[in-house]
Amino acid sequence: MTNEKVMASVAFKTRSGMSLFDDFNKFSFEKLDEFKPKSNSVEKLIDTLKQEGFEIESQTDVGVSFSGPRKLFESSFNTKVNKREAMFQSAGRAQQKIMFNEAINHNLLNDKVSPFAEAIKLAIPGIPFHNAVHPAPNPPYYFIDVTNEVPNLLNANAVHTAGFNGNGVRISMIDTGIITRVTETHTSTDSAHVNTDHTVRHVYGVWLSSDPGHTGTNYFTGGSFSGNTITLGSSLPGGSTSVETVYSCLHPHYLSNGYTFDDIRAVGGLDVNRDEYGHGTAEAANILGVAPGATLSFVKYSNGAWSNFPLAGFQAAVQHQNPDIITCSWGTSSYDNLLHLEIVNAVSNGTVVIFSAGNGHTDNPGAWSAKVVSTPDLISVGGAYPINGGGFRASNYSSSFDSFMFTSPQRHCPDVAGLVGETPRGVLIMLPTEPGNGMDIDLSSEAFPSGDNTGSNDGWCVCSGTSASAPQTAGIAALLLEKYPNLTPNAIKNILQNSARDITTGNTNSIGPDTAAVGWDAATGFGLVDANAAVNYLNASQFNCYIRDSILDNGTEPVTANRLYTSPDIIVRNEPVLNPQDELGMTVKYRHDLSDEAEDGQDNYVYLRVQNRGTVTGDCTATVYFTDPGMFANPASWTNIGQITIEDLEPGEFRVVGPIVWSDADITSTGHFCLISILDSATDPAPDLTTISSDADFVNMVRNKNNVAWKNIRINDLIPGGSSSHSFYIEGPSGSGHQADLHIDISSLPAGSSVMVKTVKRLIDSASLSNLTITNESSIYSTLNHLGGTAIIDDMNIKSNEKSKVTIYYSVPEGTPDGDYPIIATLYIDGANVGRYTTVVRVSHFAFVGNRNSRELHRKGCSWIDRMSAYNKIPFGDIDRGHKQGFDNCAYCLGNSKR
Amino acid sequence: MNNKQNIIMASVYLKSKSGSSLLKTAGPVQNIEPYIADEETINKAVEILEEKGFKIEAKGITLSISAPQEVFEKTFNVEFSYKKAEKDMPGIIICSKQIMNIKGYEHIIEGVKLMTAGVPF
Repeated sequence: MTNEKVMASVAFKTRSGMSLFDDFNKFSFEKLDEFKPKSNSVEKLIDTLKQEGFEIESQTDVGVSFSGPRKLFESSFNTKVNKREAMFQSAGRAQQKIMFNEAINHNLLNDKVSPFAEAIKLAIPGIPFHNAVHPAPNPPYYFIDVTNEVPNLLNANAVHTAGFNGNGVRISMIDTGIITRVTETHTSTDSAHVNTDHTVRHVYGVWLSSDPGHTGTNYFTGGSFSGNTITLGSSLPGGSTSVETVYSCLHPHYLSNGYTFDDIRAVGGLDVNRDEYGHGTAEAANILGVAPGATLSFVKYSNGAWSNFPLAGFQAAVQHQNPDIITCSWGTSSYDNLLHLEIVNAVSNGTVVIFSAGNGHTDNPGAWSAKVVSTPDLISVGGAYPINGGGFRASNYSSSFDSFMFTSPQRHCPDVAGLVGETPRGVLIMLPTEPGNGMDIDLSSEAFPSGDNTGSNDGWCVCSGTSASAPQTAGIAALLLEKYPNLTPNAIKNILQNSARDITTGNTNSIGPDTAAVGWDAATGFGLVDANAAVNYLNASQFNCYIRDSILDNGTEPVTANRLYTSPDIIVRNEPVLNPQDELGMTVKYRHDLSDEAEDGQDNYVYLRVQNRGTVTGDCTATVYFTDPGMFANPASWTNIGQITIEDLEPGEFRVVGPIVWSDADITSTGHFCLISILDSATDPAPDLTTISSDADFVNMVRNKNNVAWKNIRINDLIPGGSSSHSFYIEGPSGSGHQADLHIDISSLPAGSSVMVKTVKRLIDSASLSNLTITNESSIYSTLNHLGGTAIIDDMNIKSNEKSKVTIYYSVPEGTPDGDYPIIATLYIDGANVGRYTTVVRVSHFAFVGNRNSRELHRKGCSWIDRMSAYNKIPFGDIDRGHKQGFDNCAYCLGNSKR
Repeated sequence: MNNKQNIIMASVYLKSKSGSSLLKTAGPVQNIEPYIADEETINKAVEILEEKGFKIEAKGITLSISAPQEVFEKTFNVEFSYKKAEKDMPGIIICSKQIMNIKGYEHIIEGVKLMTAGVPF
């Protein structure tokens, strides 16, 4: 052991005779005088200690601290001083090691000090702190802390307990800086050295404390530093001199938690040893709160002023830091094609790239505000607010929007959400920052909720924004990668989405606004990221291929969704898709409206979207059938459209396969039909279809087996407040005297919906009506008003082989929640059920609205939409589908109109 | 603000192997292959730029270079102006030419553009 300096403190004998240790329970402020030292004790002991060779560090009325070489302590007090280390850990934090000195006899006394001192004790270890207050302040409103509550709310603590904290995973953050400049007062060790209690990264200067303006001699000039010690370039006036030291180091939040940092750099000549704006220092804490064992590298791209180089920062991270994950909490002043390309390149090389979705921003290139970076390959993270007392809602501070830049296919942001505060400033999470700069000053200038009620120079601010949610998500990605190091960026994104917690209430800061709802919604995407669910999502040691029954379906058996006939992953197209993985893949995973109506008179093309929620890569075969809805109970009658082999489906992968050609010869021109897809593999076999003998058996199979999916291909998309219609034919058998009954069930439609039924008058003349009233009649047709529930047209006299058209007109009111609303018409001939005609009215998020009358296409939010009649509103999920159906861009909201 | 020593950063578009031009491509692209330059072009570009006083900050699909404003002014015969920060948009440096060129080296360096600024969320 070296003969390094040891520090100790004196517990004086009290003037009352009471013991500071044994009688401390008697202590009160009123009794302070009784516990003070006897008069002159302090001066006399100081003289004694100095004579022994000790140095007096400090003295007060009640105590003295002194220091000296270890050997001096050992000889003076006849003891042995040993170096000890201790490890301690709080929930969710990395283990922290502290070093301290310990004497074998705890109360150091000798004959010379005993007259004055009850005990002398070596200094107990403390947590280093700067003029940045540590621990953090405690303002008087609801906020959360980044090392306990953030990981707790994201269910990361359970993952840490299971032994995963991001160890070995490399994360790069590109932001405004991570190193902070601090000013501290020290007492110099001697005339040439100043000791701090933490690693120094850069020294700006050392001045006498009596020179607070730093106008005099900078005693550091020409000096050096190493570890905790600063060696001065010129000598101080005295050996033990009070100096003001200005230097840079990591914020005490990072130091005290023992986080691991690797490469920290800056581009464009920026001062790497400062975070002038404070943003990077603050938001990086979110990463390490969630993944305290991860290795963080940092690139400073901006000083918050004119020097601002995000692309170079991103390139530098890729080039120099070998990251597994890159996280960015910023947008750009204009769309940057180069940045987009670097992101695509990084993801294709296996790097997970995560960006904030903005705080009321979009990627609209024409907007006068920051542009969100929305490249489809990255993970876009929005916000959910943790409600005080429990629960979450969409954050009204964070963005959600349909991309203006990536419309083919239509990208939506966010993909998922993290924890974000609410308007006006998103004040939510206590975060470290550079004392006295940028955010520290800005947020302290007003009271909550417009500010954070903390000091302007205390090195802490309470904030969030999607600047916080992106790095939180990076932390969860790190936990995933620690457990499964070979996951691709596609798989990481897919798993985060599949395991996210559904957010069902609240609005975001968006045009509209977007409202959270059950399942995927435009406000929060797939929901709030959940570390524990993500890390435990994959089934260990299994190949588990599945195809979704609905957007909500994440492969769990049995599925909980009510409607099983709406698989978004069986996609019919009238023409082959050029790039299926791009056009139908992850970017539009949330979409269920990608199918065309099957076109009679030509081949159609079926694409499937399949996933693997096991940890084992595997192969499977996908078979597609179509059937009449009356024939579910008889699989032998199903028509096998075709089969496709899927190879090497990796853990967590989301893949588009196809096409399976649906031959024209197999497509009927009347009635409607359903498609069924079944996946089969050696380790996850297809169900035995010979066991299906009823509709209930079939439905249970779809519900219980995640490798079976079903799609009713007559689904009609509708905008709330919109209307539409569909038609079918009722056909009489040969011979006369047949009676037809038609039951029309609209009980699933939302309250306030309106339904009319139109058919030939001759059939109505002979029938009895239940729950229907005649509203209009011509010589040929009758139009009936449906009164709700199930309506019956009974005892229609149907002629031999007569084919009569029935048209159902329907509208749903404004404010109808997203969902599927079936209208089920069942036909009986002579009392026997001969067929069912189901149309599913689907209300969901659409980015564009077409005008049936003018054939104009509008972006959601365009003022022209409000002027359309309900019947004329046709929803489109993306611009291309509108164009395909002959709609032209609105010159006002979309531009590039052909008119 | 008009500081000759202010550090400016720009992106250098290199002549690609395929002849495709990223500089002339407006919308998003998903495939980087057509835009990649060969090693010789990259090395030559680095040599030219360093000789003229630029620092190579990073190498990606483009090069990121930095230098004091006066180096840009002298090399590309341009002028700079400064637009102050407004609302949540940062201060922006504006160059008198949208695309800067080095005469005689167009076969190596297709063009140089100022870098887009970032905005912390």
